[in-house]
Amino acid sequence: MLRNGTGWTEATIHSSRWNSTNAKTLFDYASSKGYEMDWELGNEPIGFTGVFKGLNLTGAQIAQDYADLKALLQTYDLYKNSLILGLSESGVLSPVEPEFLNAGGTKYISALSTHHYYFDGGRGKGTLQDFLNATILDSFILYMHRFQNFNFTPMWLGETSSASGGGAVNISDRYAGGFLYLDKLGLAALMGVDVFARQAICGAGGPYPFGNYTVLNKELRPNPDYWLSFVYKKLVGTTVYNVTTDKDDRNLRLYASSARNQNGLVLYGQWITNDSLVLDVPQLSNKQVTLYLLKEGEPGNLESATSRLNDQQILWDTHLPVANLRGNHTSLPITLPPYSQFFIVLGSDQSKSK
Amino acid sequence: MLRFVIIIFLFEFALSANYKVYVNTSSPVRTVSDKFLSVTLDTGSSKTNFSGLNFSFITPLAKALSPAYLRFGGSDADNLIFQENLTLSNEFEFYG
Repeated sequence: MLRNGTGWTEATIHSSRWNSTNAKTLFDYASSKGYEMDWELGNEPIGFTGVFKGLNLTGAQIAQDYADLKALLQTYDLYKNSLILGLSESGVLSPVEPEFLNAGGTKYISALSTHHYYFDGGRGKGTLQDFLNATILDSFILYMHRFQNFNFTPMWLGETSSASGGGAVNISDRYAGGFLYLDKLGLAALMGVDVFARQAICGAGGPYPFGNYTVLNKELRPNPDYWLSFVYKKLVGTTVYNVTTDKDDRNLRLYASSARNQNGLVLYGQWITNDSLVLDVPQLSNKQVTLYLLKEGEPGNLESATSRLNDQQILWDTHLPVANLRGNHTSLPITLPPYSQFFIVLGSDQSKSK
Repeated sequence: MLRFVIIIFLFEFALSANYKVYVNTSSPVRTVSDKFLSVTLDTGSSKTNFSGLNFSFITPLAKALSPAYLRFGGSDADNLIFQENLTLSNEFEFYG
């Protein structure tokens, strides 16, 4: 069952304390329907002074509001054990975050949630090169160190994508978008994130600028990042391993985890230069190897709106379940093309994956 | 007498980069949620009647990404008021 996290608040202009009346209406309704849900209180408090014209909420006040939320949720059988996510802040530099945590906010949240975008893509900002840039990819490492410094776990990325402002037009929803997605998935898992919520599943095609980074296009059909998400979901397990290489290269981004639902491990990542890449894994050279290589749908055009898996078009028939993946059985060392996103499953029989 | 020294140059064309990879499986770093890869739906979509979102159409696509959280939130969440109104699509049902 998909569980739903809802951002919610209503701040009145008469007082800076959260008025829970409308939330209670929502909880009454949702619980009467038996909807299992988890909850957030407000979105990106650093923006409140702008959104609510001068309302200045301190972290301490917000902590009190979360205490009220938690107390209210306890009165519902269905929600007394729901997760409460906070602060849903826009980054890790907001003064509200340490204020909130030091004021006892830690007692009321199940996970500390922040948002991340590599840069602002609104109003036509962002170029293809920004999506192939190791320095931009590495900036997320500093973000995670700051996130770790709050000393609160679990950590969630409650809203995250390549570029804010709805995404970089004609890039964030294309094959190249995957380079600012897959790398973050790998780094986030390695550096402490428990849940990574990709902004957004759909919503393209509207008049408002939040639809350039959706995983489904305006016809609700898969963009390349949908297939990247699907492949990731089917192959990558929950145990994270450390990866090292014999030479450093910031353009080679590699991550590893247990293989989902099977023995073995999956080595995944991306290569963002114009050369071919040859990878060997000496400790596993005698194991069966299955490759899942995602490349742009139109060869040579990294801004393709479609992608290919192991050099084949990925098709989905509407109304039918999404078909099982099939990878290419091969052996080490593996040669990969320039600008590629890949998953290499090592060490078990890969004739069928679920 | 001139001695000719023939120097043979070995040109190594850097057309491919070769790496050896080591995965430390003996000491795992950590574990993540089985819902690690989750998705959002921006509350801003509610202003445009969810941009033609057809739940039954996307059910197979959404199901293929489970288990996952769906986070319904965003900047507009701070301005949303819930109203139970049976003529509007205010309710969600998720299949998984």
